[in-house]
Amino acid sequence: MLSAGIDVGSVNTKVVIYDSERDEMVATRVAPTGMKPREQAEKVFQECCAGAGLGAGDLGMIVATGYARQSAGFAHRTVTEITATATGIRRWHPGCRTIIDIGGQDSKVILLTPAGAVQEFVMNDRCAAGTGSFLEFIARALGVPIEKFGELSQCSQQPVLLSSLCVVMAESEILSLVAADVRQEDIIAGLHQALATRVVNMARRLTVIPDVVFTGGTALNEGMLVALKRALGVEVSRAQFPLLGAAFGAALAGTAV
Amino acid sequence: MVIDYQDPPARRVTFDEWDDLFARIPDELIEQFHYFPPNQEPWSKYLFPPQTFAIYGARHLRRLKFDNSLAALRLWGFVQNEGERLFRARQIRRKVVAVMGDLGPLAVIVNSFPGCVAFYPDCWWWTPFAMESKVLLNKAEELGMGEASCFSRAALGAFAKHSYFPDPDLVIAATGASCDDYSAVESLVAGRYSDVLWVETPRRPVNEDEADRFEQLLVAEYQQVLKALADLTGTEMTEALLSDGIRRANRIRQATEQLKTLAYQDGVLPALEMMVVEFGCLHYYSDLTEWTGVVEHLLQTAQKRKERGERVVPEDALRLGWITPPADPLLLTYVEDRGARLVSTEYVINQALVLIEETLPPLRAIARSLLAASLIGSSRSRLAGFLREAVEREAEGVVVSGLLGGSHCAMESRLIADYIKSRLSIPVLEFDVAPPNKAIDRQTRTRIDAFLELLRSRR
Amino acid sequence: MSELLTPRERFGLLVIDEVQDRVPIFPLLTSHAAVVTGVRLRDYYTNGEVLARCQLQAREFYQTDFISIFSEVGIVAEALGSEFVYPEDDLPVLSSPRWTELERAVPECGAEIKLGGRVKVYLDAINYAWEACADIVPVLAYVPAPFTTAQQLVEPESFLLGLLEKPEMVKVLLDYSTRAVQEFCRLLIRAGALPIIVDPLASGSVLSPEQYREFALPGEREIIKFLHRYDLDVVLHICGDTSGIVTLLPETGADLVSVDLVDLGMVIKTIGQEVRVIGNFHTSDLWLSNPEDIYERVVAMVKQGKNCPRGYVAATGCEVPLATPVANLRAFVAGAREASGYQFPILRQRE
Repeated sequence: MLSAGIDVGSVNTKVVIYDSERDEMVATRVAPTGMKPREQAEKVFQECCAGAGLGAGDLGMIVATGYARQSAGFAHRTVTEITATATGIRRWHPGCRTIIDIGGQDSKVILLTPAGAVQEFVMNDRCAAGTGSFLEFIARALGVPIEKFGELSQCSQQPVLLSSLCVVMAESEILSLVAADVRQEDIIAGLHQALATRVVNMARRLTVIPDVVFTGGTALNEGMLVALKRALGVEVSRAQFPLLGAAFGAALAGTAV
Repeated sequence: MVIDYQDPPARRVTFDEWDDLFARIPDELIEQFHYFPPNQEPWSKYLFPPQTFAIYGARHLRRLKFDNSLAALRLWGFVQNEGERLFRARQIRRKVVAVMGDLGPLAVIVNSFPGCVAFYPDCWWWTPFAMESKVLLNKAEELGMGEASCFSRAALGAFAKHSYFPDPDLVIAATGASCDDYSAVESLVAGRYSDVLWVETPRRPVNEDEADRFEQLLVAEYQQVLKALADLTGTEMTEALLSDGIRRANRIRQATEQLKTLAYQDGVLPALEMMVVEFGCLHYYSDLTEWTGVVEHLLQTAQKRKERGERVVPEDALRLGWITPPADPLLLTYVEDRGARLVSTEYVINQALVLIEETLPPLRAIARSLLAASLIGSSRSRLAGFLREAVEREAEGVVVSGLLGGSHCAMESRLIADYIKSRLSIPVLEFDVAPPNKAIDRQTRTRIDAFLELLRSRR
Repeated sequence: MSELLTPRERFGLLVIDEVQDRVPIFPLLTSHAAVVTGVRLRDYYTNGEVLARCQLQAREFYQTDFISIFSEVGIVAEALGSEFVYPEDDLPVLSSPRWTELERAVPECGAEIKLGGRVKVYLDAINYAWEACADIVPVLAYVPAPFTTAQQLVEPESFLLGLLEKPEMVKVLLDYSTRAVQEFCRLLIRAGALPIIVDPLASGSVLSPEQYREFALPGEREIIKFLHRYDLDVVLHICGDTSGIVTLLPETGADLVSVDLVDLGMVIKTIGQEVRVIGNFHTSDLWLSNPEDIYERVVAMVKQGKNCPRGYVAATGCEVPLATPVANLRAFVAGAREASGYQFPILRQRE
């Protein structure tokens, strides 16, 4: 049986079509959400189906998740990204007990029971500090593509210490560092460290239990992965498909009904 | 006069559904209820539906769900016109006394004076949420209290505007073991708008010796209050009048406690209406006599529902405890819509529900009731009653809704969460309530939804 | 400089008999809002969002104290089946009443009320304005009274003759019209507007005081009674010369009475103890005079009006004419503002 999960996130909309009999993702699609989540959710979903040669009648349950999950009016039900991410990541990483998810607008830490259900979770406060959009904002200010952040930060010899993670204040601080000829690599590594510290402080409100899996768009950044490991002091592995965890979990939730 | 009106079967209804119900309410019933009884002036009627108040700016009412009983309609009408009621009090020459930062006792004393109306400016902190408006918060910011302080700063804006309640004849402000943010409001009011009679609130005593000393201190403070009120009204307070005031306060407290049990244990009243009633124990919405009628009417309705086996929230709904008032009333509507119900609350006002001893000399009894207040002690003492109820009613999770800047909330939320987890071993959700808006912000919604999913998965 | 009170707070004080920071200012700014914002009139009265936006912008521009949702007094008659034409740059005009004769109307007047026409436009406009600003500004919606509505349901000649020759038939029609207007009010209330009752066709320029009492007043009273069930503060506006019926106006139950071509001093003296008075700058002067004269005369009017015992609202006697020069209306608001202040707050002695 085929089910679909659609994760309408603040930055990207992700779709996974899952075949429960073969236990595999048969199609996936990722595209920017933009300013019209309703239209975009429908469009990305249709494109994903068309790409896999599927029609409306081929799918069983469609489950929406993500911050704009209510926009996917065509879905049969919704589930929060916390439950969906937990379900998806645990399927890929059966030993996982702690998930660190840094997305566009939110970062979350989810603690799982030994059986894989959500035991507890924490989320960042309302501002963008501590989320992926913070890094993107600073990337624009520095004029460096975000994709290069991971690689550049690995070359850092002396990461800078940032005094604030407030987006506005950090921008002004970083521009001062640039003006003072501080190396870009050191600034970026400093950013990763600061962000990792923020997320780890949040994680410590729970009891972090290994295995720890890092997911969300920011998990694609190698520098962040390294910084997280260092700040947390335990091994952290990257999710098998960092962008697709919640969409996959939603698709799995569709097979459970 | 017998008026033919039967409540429909108990349920929560939308704004528009209430208008349909209102069309069935006989005119005679609308004529029946007046505030400041036995006053019968046309302006003192109050049995009006949420539509009325929405037209006058209370926009949030359109998004809420309400209990569909006549008693609940009476509750909303009464609560919503409190501002007007205070102006009318002045017009009929009653003395309007603001009690600020009060944990319950000052209103009891003020209301014991014939012709005095005690009101609680602190409660204007609901106005920005009810109106979905920044007007009062902006005014407070202009006067020096910005986003770093809690929503109670709206009370400062209301003082500055002179249009939400009349300028009080007397302002009495409790200070000391009270909320720090609110002390800031009090200081600014004292500096700009009114003379203030300060009343020192000690912390909770830790031994007998302290208890005696603190009691004496409080009695001396209350005597100053009596003197100021006697000067204002020209009436000397007697022990008999004060004792009567205590009895009237206890009557409300008792009824509220009974209603709380019916609402939270038997699910016969929605969380929103119950919260509005709980807050009434502080200040009776500026009319003790009529408020007693409102609460007892709700109590009768709740008892009847229990007898008939009617409920407004399903028995199998997820059972939640809630700590610190949610500020945005929509949150309570939301959790009930999502299949949860409240079974235990600690809205920072539980001390106003404790009965005052009627056998002691009145001022000593009032002082003792304050010294027993959970709020002037540690977080643990604040939670004692809450935990007892949460255990009895098998709460499955607890929500701690903090108020950014609120000194009873912001720093305390984590302590409370940890303590509850250690005592009850159930999940706790902590978040700060977002500023007034038309809808619940997406992050809060996700937190609540995920929390309820978590609780459901544990069943 | 921004003022201490918002229009909402100011109006709130007025209706509970409390002194305000100043007199509220209410030129009956209706379709002129479209003209001043550069919108075609047909778009204004056929699209609720457009109507509301024009009102919001015009209020900001002129700094008045109310939003007014209105285009013309045919809205309920149209909703019941009378036909209107929609000129591009003018207001809707009645083209064909629902019934040609009173005799044809009477048998159908028992029918259930179903409102069509442009009612949805009004409701959309109210919703939009209410969501945008109801915490700051009262949103008013005009309701043509039963008499005015009834007169647009039947050919005017048949209706006017009926007043003299077949009063019982007219009353059947008026009952029907009253039910419809009440339903219209119910919808407006749900959408968030404070209804303001207008009965231009019941003006003293049309009806004698006896006819007013017999045919118009009962319907007005009935609607006002319905609105009082909600505890709403009801405005009744009657255009034209109402000198002969001023003493009757409080009988309607209205809380605020808006008058046009009458002596303001006389109105205040006659009914100012019972109701708040709204009025009454001559609209043709507003249109055709110059800003200096308008300013001066408005100052004089407000100085007189603000002494009304139950309270006063500085207003025009009728709708602001479509082609009123911007400078003239600005002069009106400036003059009203200049003269409108009260001592506020009333200083209380510190003891």
